Amino acid sequence: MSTENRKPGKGIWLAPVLLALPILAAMAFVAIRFGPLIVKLINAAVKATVVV
Amino acid sequence: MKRVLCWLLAFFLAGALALFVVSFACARAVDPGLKEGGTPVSDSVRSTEMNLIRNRIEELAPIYGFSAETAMKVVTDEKIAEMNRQAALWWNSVLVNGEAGEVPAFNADELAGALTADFVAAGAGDEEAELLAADAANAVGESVLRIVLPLRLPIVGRGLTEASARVDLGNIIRFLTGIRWAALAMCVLLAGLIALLESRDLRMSLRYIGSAMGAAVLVIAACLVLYARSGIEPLIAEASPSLSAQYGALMNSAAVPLFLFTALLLAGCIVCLIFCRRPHEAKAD
Repeated sequence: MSTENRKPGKGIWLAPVLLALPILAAMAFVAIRFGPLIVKLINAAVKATVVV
Repeated sequence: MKRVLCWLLAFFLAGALALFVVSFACARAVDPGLKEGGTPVSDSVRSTEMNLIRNRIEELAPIYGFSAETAMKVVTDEKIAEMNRQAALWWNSVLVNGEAGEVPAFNADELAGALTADFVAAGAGDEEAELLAADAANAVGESVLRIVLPLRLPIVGRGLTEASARVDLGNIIRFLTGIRWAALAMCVLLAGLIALLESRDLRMSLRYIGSAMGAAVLVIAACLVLYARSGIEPLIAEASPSLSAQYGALMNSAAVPLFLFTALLLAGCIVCLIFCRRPHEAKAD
């Protein structure tokens, strides 16, 4: 079957999910590994710069 | 081999599209601050500031023994707007030239004069009234400054000036706000390459481009979820209600292009993926 005659089935809607999966996985890794540290840094920055 | 290359290009296209949308939204929030005059403060932010000032003055009035009404006649909406304008100019000067100018201040003399008359009317001697009024005016002035300028501008200014002595801060900020156009150019290039590789079949190229658009929407949605889960906004609201209002206005200006482009990408994804299926369904009939 040539590329031109290949019929994209319902699975075509899965393509965006599969394409985004590596980026989402990387984002999840960064969020889990460094998320708390980033939030702590932002917290410290806010506390240091806001007039109490 | 061609398919693998196309999927790889689609993957990079998804990343470039997400980067374009996010950087465009961020640049929209920063851009007004780089223009002459700085970021104008919206009416809603000023109204929030006025409410906070009114509440604070009503709290201070019984403590220092002055009339809140008299103080509110001096601390007018125009004065707060002027302070906001000065603060916007201060940020503009730091961001564009890397030079922190004079930090805006609240002139308490006029307020002290108005309050002195109040204290005299209440039966205090002239000197005592002046001292009491100066004390109260200072307290009100500090509170007004804290509400209108919630950040420690001298410290922030010192840090940014030190940084700009070592690196060209203005250029870096201009570079960061220009990333969106680089990302857009990358999107056009990648989509063009996909179309070129699949030049014999429009449907297939639409399939890759549509999938990349859908993937970009998912990435942007994940970014929004992560931002919402990070709890930055409650953190700022807890630190300072007025800073929260100013930050909210900044985020609102970024939210409009973010949601607009995300909706466009979603629509593009749906149209492309439906279109790339249609001819086959016609053939099946």
